[in-house]
Amino acid sequence: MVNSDAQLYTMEGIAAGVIMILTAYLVLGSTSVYTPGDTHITDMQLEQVGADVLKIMDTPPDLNNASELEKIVATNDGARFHQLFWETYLMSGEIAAQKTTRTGSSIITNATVYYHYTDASDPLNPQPVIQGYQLSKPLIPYSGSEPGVRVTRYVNVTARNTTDCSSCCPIPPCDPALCPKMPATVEDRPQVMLVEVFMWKA
Amino acid sequence: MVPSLLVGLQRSTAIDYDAVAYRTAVILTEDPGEPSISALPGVYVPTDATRFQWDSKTPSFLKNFMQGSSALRFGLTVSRDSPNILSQRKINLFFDPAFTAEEIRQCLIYGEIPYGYNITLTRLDTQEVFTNGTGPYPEGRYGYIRRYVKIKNYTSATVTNETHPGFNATTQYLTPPFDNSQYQTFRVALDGLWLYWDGTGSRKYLVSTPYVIDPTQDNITVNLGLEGFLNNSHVNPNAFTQELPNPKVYFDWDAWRANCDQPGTPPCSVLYPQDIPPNYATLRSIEFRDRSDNPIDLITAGAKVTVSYHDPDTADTMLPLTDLDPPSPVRVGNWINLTIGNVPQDYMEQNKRMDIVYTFGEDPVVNPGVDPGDPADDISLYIPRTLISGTLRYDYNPANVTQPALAPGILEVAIW
Amino acid sequence: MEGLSPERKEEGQWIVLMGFLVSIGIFFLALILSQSTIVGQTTAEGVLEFPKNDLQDVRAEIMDITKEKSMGALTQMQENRVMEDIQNLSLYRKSALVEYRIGDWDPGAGNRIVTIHYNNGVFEYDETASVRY
Repeated sequence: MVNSDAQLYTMEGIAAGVIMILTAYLVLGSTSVYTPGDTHITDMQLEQVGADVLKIMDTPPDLNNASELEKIVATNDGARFHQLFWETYLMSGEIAAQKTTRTGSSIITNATVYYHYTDASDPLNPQPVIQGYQLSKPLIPYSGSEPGVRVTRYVNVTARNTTDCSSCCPIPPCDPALCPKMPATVEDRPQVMLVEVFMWKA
Repeated sequence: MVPSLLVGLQRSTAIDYDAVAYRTAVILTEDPGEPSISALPGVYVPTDATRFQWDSKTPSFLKNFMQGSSALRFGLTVSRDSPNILSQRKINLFFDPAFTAEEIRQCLIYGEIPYGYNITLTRLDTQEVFTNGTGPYPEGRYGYIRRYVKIKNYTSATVTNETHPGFNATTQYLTPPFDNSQYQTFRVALDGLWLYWDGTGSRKYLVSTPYVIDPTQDNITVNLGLEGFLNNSHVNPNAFTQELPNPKVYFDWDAWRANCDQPGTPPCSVLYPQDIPPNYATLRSIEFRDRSDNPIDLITAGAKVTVSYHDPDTADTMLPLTDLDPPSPVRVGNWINLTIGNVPQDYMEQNKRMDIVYTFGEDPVVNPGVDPGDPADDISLYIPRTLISGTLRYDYNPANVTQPALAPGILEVAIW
Repeated sequence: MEGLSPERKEEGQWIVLMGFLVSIGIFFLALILSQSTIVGQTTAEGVLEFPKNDLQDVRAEIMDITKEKSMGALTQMQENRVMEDIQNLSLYRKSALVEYRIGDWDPGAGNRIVTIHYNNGVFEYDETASVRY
């Protein structure tokens, strides 16, 4: 009868083990914050979408025109940036998935332009400086806790341009004082700037 | 460790589908596909049975091709170096319903599992939608990715008397040397020297693939509106004050009726017996010629040529023209729409030139009472019904050609 | 359980011990299982980690500059400053080292050689491209 006793111990042991696992699963599972609806916009997907939008905004439509993004940076036109990046592309109504079961969740964007100049205040020791200015403000300020992604794009700028008001002021005569300007430290030369867009889910 | 262990078990299936969707979208939007010729536009690359552009073939060819041991992959970009810029020809072919779900899985999605999929491309400018899938989006869980792309448009040229009055030959006929040939020709010139190269002088450089007008890759369309060029409406007060040393007159019809049967002009009865202004011209042929003006047999060489034209008798009916050269002459009331695709590199590369030659010509009208063999008496012969003449440069001038602008679009891939 | 006679009391302890052993065993099996099904998650992480978009962006920008140089739109001075822009912006905003060199035009071969070096500490990318403009 010793043999059957040993088997009984084993079976009871397995039963006890299963109960322990199940308990641990239920306790830990109940505190999990997993939400299946969020999986389709993971960080990876949002980053890819953001990078794609910047890329196609920075693609000239034909041989005779500069890209939209170049024009926006050259004229510092934040309103146009938000309209294109957010309204036309990112939150576009022409989404096949949206027409079926998925609804788009709102994404907040914050766009900054970074540029490089040389600080020559000490002529013996000129220093490279990276400075940024806001291109387009977010509708809701970033609280600092939402997970977000950052996408960037290098943009060619031919010169420091502070005069083109065409889009910020559609009806001439325009008051040059109202035109958004690049900061004074932007050097007047062909250069490369970095458009950085931070995106998070509201 | 424990929570991630258990949650990880639960999440794995959904995220796996997302990864397949991501991979599928990367192949579609960042890869030109296979087989492909990764050459620059206008640079000649010999092709053979395994080395060609997959999108230059028909669906039935590709279906056979993939049955063998040959690799076929459906990538949609115009070149290796231009991610997110898609070719219209590849889009049209990929979304062709001829391909079965099994073939799409074999050449795009990969893996052992027969995934359900839905691939949708939406053009944001025209709202045109292309879909390829095993069904609509499922109610349950599916892997999903969205990519933003630019789509390279085909180009086209539209020629009418209003847009291009310079091709109306009115003045040419009244200015020496007089044109007294039987036929009239109009040409559209495609020249590699100006299609593939940009810049001036020694600073010439190759036009990059997304912006080039490349007849070997993209369709070329010429819409010729003949109505305004017909030999019936142009009023020129000097028409009959000139001597008419050749038969090519154009008509101010009121003046004509007042002046015909006069000495030195043709008799009223013979030219257009019903005395009705022509409402058509007779198209003799559409030919393709190279730089030395030698004819090219484009259709035999594998190019895809389609022509439709407006028949004056059946009004709005568009008829396919199958016989280009030698032609059965057809009566054309207004539009001749010509589309050429898949031009072989043998005829279109950096230094090659190809002209599309339209020839119009009427049957001779014998003037009663004169000897047809005597040129002096041939004044009534070959009165043209159309006045079109000249050569259109098919190039990057927006006044002549609708440019290959890039249109934004959204590509979505769902996998389940 | 089989009664509570004194000689059986310690058997209950054995059962509990057995339970622990089995549960640890199941944990290990689950760990192995989770490692095999976690592939999807690491794919997404791998995509995030690999700087594909940055590489494509830097590459496209350098090709743009090459073209501008070919067209004579940039002086040597301006070209050097543009290179400083890219290097500094990429170092300070993207934590990536970018170096590139645009070779001279070779009229015989009809091309110029462009070399690109990229290193963000995790991934390194080198390219030598023959550019025909």
